[in-house]
Amino acid sequence: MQDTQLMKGILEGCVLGVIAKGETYGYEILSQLASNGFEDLLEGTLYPLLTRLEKNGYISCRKAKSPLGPIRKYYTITVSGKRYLNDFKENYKKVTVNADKVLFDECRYTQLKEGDENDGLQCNGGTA
Amino acid sequence: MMDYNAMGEQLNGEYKDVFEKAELYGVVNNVAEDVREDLMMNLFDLLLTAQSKNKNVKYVIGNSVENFCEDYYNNYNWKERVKRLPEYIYRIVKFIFIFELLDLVLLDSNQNLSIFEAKSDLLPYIGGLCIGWLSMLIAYLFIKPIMFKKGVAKARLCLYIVLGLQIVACILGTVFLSDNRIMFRVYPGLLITGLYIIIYVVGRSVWRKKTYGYVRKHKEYKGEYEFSFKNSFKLSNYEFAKELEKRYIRTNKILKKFRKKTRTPDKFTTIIRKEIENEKKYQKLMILLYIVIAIAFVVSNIIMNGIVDSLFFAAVLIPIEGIVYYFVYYKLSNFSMNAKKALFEEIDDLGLNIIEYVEMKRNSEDSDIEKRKKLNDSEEKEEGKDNQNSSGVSYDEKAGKKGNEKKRYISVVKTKKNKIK
Repeated sequence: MQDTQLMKGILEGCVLGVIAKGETYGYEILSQLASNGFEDLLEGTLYPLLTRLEKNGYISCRKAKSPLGPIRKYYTITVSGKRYLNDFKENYKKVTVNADKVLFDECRYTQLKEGDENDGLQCNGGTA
Repeated sequence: MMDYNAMGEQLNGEYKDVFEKAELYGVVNNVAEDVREDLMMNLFDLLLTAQSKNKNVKYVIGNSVENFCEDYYNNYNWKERVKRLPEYIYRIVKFIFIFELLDLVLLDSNQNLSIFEAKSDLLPYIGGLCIGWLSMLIAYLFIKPIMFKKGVAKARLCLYIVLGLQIVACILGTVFLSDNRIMFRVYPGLLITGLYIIIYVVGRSVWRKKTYGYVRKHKEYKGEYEFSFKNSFKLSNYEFAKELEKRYIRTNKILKKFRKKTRTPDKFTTIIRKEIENEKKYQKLMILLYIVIAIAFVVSNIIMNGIVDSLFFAAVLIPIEGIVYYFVYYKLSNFSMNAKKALFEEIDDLGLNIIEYVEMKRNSEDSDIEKRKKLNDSEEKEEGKDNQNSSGVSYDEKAGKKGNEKKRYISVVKTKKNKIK
């Protein structure tokens, strides 16, 4: 979560991806993302992000009583949200493929040049 | 308006602390009430869910409460504030309109001035605005750091001090600046403020109708979390007992200082029990005193100013004083009496005195925290499995928790009683 600029865009798509699976709420989104490796994502980041998505019309929100009592916001993806998610997925694929190419090839190049396997492994680890 | 105290009551320890800090952060940042309500309701649900799942609060907010608050309120930036400027102006203008109207009706009617000749002083408005903004700035610059460094209680105390100073500044301002007046005619002020109010209300109604389909303000959070005057004074039995425990410690300290016999917990409990009976007596006495004062006031006025004037003022002032008395004395003493009664009902059932009750509750709270820590540790190990299925806490789970709490409660009471024996 250190590279915030990179994470910001990716998170938006991932949150939208979680909501696209079905109606969900804040805590569940956090849990889902944490279980997929986004352990550092906190409510302080998630809530403004959800508000932004709602303002842009990508998700809609329904308020209902939770089993524990308080009013809970349940989020659903909208049609424009689905469209945005599809675009995001395509763009993400392209960007990652290209980035992988550049970074992976660069590592290979150094690996071959220096003939040191350890260096190459470090590079791969950094890329993944 | 939402009752944040009632919500905070449902949270324990660190969850409650985060909730209170986030709420106060919104206050000192002057976040609009409806935005704050939305944010707090969302946070409340999240913290309550995390608490019921025995998740560490850090799982939701991270390591720093301060950073969390900053991120959480991130959307309420200067752009949002500028958008809300018409609403903010409307709130100020509403007051100016009412004061101008009062000025015109009450003060200038004595001088028989027409609406076009009547004048009003601008200085109190300027002074009021300056004091208000200064207080907001002080709250933002000083109370926020106090809250994160010294805790919510101290920050709240500072906030009350700032509010007190605000009142003092207003009083001093009216006393010392009474000679420096900036007079202006009432009618342009009334016209401008009146027009603004009409335009704003009509514009808001149209916008609401377009956006939500209704003109009146829609209340999203109804029921148990709605603020009520009655609930705002309510303390849980444990909290009230803790306050009494502080009083017990204080009294014994003073008695020790003067080398007098200190009070035993049982003796202290008896004294508090007696206070309930005494409060009932005081209430009756106060009503009697109020009636005597009112009659004396009317009679003395009739002698000095005649019947008609005196009866007119009595008809206006006595109900106002009655309402003030009702809320300031009668209601407050009733709240304290009811709190004591509820506490005694519980401690009588358990067969404990107040101090033993506080200790027992404290022990059970400590073991709760320990239990949560253990559960957290074990859950963290199995996190991957657990997170896949997080669709809310069942009532059975809740009931199970309550059952365990009751068992622990009884065992603590038993050990306490054995110790006493």
